Amino acid sequence: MELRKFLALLSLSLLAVLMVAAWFFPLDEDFRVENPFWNGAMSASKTGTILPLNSLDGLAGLPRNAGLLLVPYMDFTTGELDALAGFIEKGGTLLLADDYGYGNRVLEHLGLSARFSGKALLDPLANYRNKWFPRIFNFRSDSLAAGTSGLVLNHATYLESVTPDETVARSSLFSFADLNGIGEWEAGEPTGPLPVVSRHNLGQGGIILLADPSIVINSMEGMEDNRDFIQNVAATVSAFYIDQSHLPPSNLHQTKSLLASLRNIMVTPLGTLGLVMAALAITLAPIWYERRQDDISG
Amino acid sequence: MKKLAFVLCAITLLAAFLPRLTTAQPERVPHEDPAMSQDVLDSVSLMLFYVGVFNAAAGSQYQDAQAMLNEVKHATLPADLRFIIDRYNDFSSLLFARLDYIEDLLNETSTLLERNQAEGARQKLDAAQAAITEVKEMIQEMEATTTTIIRNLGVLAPFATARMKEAYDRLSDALERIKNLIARLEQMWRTLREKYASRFLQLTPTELSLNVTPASAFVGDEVVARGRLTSGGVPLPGRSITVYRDNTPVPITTDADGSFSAGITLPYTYVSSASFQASYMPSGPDVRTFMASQSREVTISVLFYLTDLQSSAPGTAYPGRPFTVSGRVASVGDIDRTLRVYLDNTRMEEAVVKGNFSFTVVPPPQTPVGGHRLMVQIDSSGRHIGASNILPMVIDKLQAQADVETPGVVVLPGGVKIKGRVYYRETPLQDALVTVSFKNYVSSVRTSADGRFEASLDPPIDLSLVGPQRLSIAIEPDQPWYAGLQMQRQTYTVSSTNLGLMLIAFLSLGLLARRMGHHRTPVTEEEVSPAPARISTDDTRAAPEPPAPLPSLPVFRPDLTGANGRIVAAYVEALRAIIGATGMGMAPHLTLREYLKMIAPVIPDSKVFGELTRLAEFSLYSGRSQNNEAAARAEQLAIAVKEGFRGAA
Repeated sequence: MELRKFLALLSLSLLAVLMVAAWFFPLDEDFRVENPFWNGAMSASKTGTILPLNSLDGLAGLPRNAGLLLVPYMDFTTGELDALAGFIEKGGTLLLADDYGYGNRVLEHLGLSARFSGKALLDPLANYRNKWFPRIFNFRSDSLAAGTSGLVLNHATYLESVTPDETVARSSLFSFADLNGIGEWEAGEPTGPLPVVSRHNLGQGGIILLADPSIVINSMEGMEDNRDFIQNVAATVSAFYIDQSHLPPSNLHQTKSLLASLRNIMVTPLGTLGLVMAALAITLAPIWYERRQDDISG
Repeated sequence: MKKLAFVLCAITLLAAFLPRLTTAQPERVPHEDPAMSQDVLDSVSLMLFYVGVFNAAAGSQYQDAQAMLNEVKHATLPADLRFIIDRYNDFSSLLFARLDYIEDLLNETSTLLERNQAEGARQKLDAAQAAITEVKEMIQEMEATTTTIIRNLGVLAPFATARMKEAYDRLSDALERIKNLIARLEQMWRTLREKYASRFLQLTPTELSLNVTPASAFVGDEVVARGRLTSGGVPLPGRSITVYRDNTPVPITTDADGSFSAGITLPYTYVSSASFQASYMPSGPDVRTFMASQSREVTISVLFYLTDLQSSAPGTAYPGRPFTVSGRVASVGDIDRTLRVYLDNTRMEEAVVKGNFSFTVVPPPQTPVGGHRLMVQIDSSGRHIGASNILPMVIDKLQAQADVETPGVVVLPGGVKIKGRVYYRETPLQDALVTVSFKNYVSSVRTSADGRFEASLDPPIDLSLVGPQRLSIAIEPDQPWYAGLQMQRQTYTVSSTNLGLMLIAFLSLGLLARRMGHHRTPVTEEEVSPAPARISTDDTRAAPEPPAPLPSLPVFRPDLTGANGRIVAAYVEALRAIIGATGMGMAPHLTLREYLKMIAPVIPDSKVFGELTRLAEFSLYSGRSQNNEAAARAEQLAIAVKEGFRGAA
């Protein structure tokens, strides 16, 4: 076999193998319900607590009194923000779980004064293993905290401009806000208790602010009462969804999306027809080529 | 080749740069794998925390200090340190409680001294002295325990950091402040003791009596408190007396004979008794003459009418669906009463009732499913005490039912029709939202008055040919007291368009395969093995060895006649000459062109045989018949091939 043919065949084979691998290899992105690894949300999804929602365009079609877990790691369009406001206005419950993302954009649009600080909440004493995993045990009497005696957060932040009436859970006395990012408390940095969960009524629905979305990931969901907390939210809504359209896509996800787009094109009538035609053309090409060669040579 | 290299380079570059082209993400790490995280005890934070606790205590903020200590139980500590810290916290709590107690005692002593209450002041001073002795011992133990903890935290070790040492110094300072506080309290005790000793040696005791009539009275009624103030049997007129009714003060002034009398109204507090006590506090010039005094405590019975409330409600209710609360109120006099109904502290209904009552209550549509509490309450009214009943109530949803007809086989392209009926125990559910999804296509309809619906879907063509497909039906009733319903149905789909296209593709491939198989494979009599080449310019060729048996010739379509037959015959003739000259026969797997490629380097004029090969291919594989001119040309070429060999020989 000629080298050129060999390389071409090798490239095609590699491409095919890579496509198959990319299609079947599980996603490893944060918070995705398809992700079975430590940072995915497959466990919560498998227990039926959370259903995936791949676009905020689908909000209008959700059942009445539905709930939406929003992890805003990507910015929003005005249309998306309007859709969120409409969803809450009609009776939906938004669980806005953010630490260092775009949660404040949503809060600004909804006209709420509460904000995610965007600064790390560290707890050097009341923690799981180290200060980056603050343990939360100060709860107000609220249905969200029913049967919940403790949460474990993971690289969390804290809430600002939240009133005591709105606050559902606060960090411990030992915690502090690491404003300068050196990981140790310095004079002037806010100390605990700092609010980490709050509830706000809006229209016919409501919004729950959670200063760390990581409690839903597979490795955190089973810690202390994290699962109970999520289930308490789910219990108050008719169906509970997680928005996956504002999670940053990995290369694998982009590849999968590309393959899915190709597949979607293929399943259209024109795509299917084109595929059959292409198969025929590839099959018949050698014959056409030989005949052409014969015609040229006389 | 250059193009291929360029494409490979482009792919490599894309792969290298694409990962950097991802969209904006959070700057910080959103989380880390807890299983991979390390255990870290922040000893500095622990020491600084106790600095805060002791500073709060040293500032007399004992409750704050205690609240801070309570948080330590949530701290993550190693087991051996946890035990010591727990003991330390218990000890600290006790110390703070005693310090708080001492401060209270001393403050009360000061007040009693101001009021000339000698006996009370003396008792408090004695208690304070005992407590101060106790805390002085406690603080010594605290210091020893602190040293143990510090050693466990490694602060005294050579590797201790400057930050740890600084925290330790601050902790020592905080403990020193506690010791200073104790010393301050002790000094305050001494001052009060001296004040007590100097004051009460020259004061005269007083006596105060109290009597309350009647011995029992209804709420809202007035009772009369009478008594007398004397000092050594001598009445003290015009003195201010305070009669306390359950800690509520009523001021009275004594008459000329030292007696006093006042009407006191019993409040509408539905308790069984009320207590009274009179108190005399010297004021003005009396402060330097008389000691304070208190009467004995007098208790009377308080009367009121009981209210009998009986109420009932269903054990299970449904969001948005009315239910009835009924019952009966009975009390003396049969008066109008205000009744309220609460569901989990939310007021649902209010009305004035007498005797039997019956209400309709509607739970809010958004009431969550689960256990709730219904409270029926009658307000108190005058002499009638209020009453309430708490009724446990489960809020549930009724499970809607549905009969759904789905097609067993769906032929695509074409619509899918789903019919059905939504009901609950034969009651049709109107306006229920029915959402049908099939292959990512969704359609929604609402049920009619008889609960029936008919939804249709028009899914597009896709890659599927035939096979089972899942049909999902979600039903959400309009009434909030019905629970929604999710159903799955299996249906068999047949994609006629795809089947047709696949059929065309297979037919084309079949035809192609048949044609290629028929034309390309030469039929051989036997496999021919190549022999050594015979064409050579070597002199040894002049005396050839006995020739080896020649490979047999393939047989090419003996059915060919006319010009085609002549061309093939000419090719066979040339082939025979080549095999005879070279010994290289045509193996059965070779095409004419492959044989030409193989033989070209060893025959004298490959172009001539090449042209003959192409003519033979046309004759064998083309649908067209060749003309005589081509046949004559083939025969000429065959002769040329043979002559070529002769010339070479």
